Order: sequence, then C-alpha cells, then structure tokens
Amino acid sequence: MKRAFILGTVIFSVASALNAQVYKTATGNIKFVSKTAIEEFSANNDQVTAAFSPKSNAIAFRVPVNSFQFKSALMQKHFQENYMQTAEFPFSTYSGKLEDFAAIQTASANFSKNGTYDVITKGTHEMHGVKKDITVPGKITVANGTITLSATMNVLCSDYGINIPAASKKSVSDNIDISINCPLELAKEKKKK
Amino acid sequence: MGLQISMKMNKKRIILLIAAIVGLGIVYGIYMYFKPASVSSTGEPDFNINLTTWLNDLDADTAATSTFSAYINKSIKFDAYVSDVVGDSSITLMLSPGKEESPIEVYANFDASMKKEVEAVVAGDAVTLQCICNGLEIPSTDPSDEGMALLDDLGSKQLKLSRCHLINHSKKESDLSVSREHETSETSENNENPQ
Repeated sequence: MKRAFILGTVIFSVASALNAQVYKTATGNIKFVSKTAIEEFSANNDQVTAAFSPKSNAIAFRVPVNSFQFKSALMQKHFQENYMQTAEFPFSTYSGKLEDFAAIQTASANFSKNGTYDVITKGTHEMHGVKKDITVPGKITVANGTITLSATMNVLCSDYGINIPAASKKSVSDNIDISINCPLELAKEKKKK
Repeated sequence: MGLQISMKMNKKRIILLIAAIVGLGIVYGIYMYFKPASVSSTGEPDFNINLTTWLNDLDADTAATSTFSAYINKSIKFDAYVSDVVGDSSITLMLSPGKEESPIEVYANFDASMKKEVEAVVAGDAVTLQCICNGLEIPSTDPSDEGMALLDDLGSKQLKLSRCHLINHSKKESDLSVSREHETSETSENNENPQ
C-alpha cells in the first residue's frame, strides 16, 4: 500500500512537471498573400515568437512586422512605412486560449500522443495599434516531442486602421490571407531575473 | 520667316525634352517597381555596435521601447559569439556578446537564399555580422495576460535582427585545437608508416 502511494506520488509529480512545461519557438513562420484581379503578391516571415502551455491552456504569438520579406523592394518599403508604420508599431501579437481544451488534452494524451488535432483558438489580436477579439480554427500536430501550431486565417486591413490608398485599391487587397506554421519545442529552464 | 522657323524648332526641342524626361521617369518607375528587395544587409552600416555595451544599455533602459525605435529598419554591424543555430527553411543564429550568458536574447535571421553562407557556422563560433534591426521584444507588464507572459520567458528581452550578412567567421578554439591535434597525429602516423 505504502509502495503504491509512493509510486502514485512520483508518477503524479512527473506528470505535473511535464504538464508545467512551456513549448516555444523564436523562429516560427507566417506568410501572407494579397490577391486582386490584377495583382498578387506575398511576403514571408521566419521570426515569429510563439508559445503554448498545456497546463494553463495559453497560446501566444508575437510577430516582428519588419521581418516580412517581399520580392519587390518598393512593396517592402510601402508596407513598412505607409501601411504598417513599423517604426511606430513594430510588432503584431496574438494571445488566447484553445476551445475544448479538455477534449484535446484527452485525445492527445496531454499532448504526448503523435497525431494532428483540429483546434479552435479564441483571443485578442493586436496589429497596427488596434486590438480585435478573433476566433481562428487551426491544427496542433504532435510529433516526437514537438508541437506544431498551424492555421490559416483572413484579416481585413480596414479592421486594423490600415489605409489602402484609392490608387492602390486595384492592386492591394483589403482581405489578406495569412498562413501560420510554428513548430514549438520544450522551452529550456532559465534563471529568473 | 526666319523667326517662325526658329520658333518651330524651339517648340520641337522643348517637346522632345519633355518626352525624354517623361520617358526616363517611366523607365525609372518600372525599374523601381521591379527592383528586388534586398535579402541581406550590405554596404556601409548605419551603426557600428559594440554588442556588449549596447545590450547592457538596452537591458538597463526602462524606456527601451521608445529608445529602440531609432534602430528599427536600420543596419547594424557587430561582433558576437554563436550560442545556437536554429531554424529549418531559413537559418537563425542565437548570439551572445561574449562567452557568458547574454542579458538579452539575440536572434539573427538569414534569408533562405543565404543558407549556404552560414551552413558552416556552429555554436561557439565567433562571427561578424551586418543585419537589419526589426524589433526589441519587451516583456509585457500585464500580469493578467497569460499568453504574453509565456512569450516573455521569465523577463527576457529579445532582439530580432534579419536580412543578415556574414562578414567574418572564425571557428571556436576547441575545434581549431582538435583539427591541429588531428593534423599532428596524421603527420606522426605518416612518419611511422611511410607509403
């Protein structure tokens, strides 16, 4: 009985410790595409910071907006200076939680069982100084200790105070397609400051 | 009569001149429209930085969010040590100013097309880089925002650099001494067993 109690305590402590771990990356990827009848362009960003905690069901992203790489120098300049005003708003962020967290936790055996799980996240997206509550469907893929967060979503530039000049409306879409792919790993322990 | 001919010729020249200016403007506009964005920072940097001093100043600066705006989208050149190499489609070097732990995590991203330039770089190597500053991530002060608290990893600031260019690279000393030992042992083997 005593042995069973000690064994149970050890297993519980280990499980709690694993559950307390945070999965993070500082090199996640976000790509966006603008598509109109006359022009299509895209930009890529490999410097997304993302984190997920299986314990608190908190999920977050921070995107350095200046890191978006375009093919055209002129588009990159206009994006940074005129549309996103990156000197004033250098980051776009998202902070939220997963819906049906308990069900996903069970299905994935507390995010340890390999597989792809459909999820929905609800939270606050801040971009260009404007905050909006959003709901985004996505996927969590568990593979050998790595958790990958992926999703596709649309944002309207006008919702975030991003003004597209009349002269550019035929070549720059208000509706932007965004795809997110962030493989996370267990964060290393750090000394508290 | 002579005056009329002269006036007609002047008009022609003016029209040709205006057409040439407009034509050059169109050509310049097309060139600028199709000019590819730079994937790495080259040329004269906006700032030559001592990384140790800069990171210590940024770490101590309580108004770093506004101070740092002077560096956004500017190029900086600096020396550093590589503490880790991460990334898949593109390479990111995690850097520190010295062998000890850095007060701020520094991430220097190379475009996917520059992968070959940095594939020989490993943790422990010394590098000289020129990069574009993208942002300084400051920990959130909102204790109720659990998501942001996750990102901020016990209070660390993160410095994000991209479009990096590797100017200089020296292997870490242990690698150099291993290769020297290897050369020495090869030489002595050859001396013992001449072919």
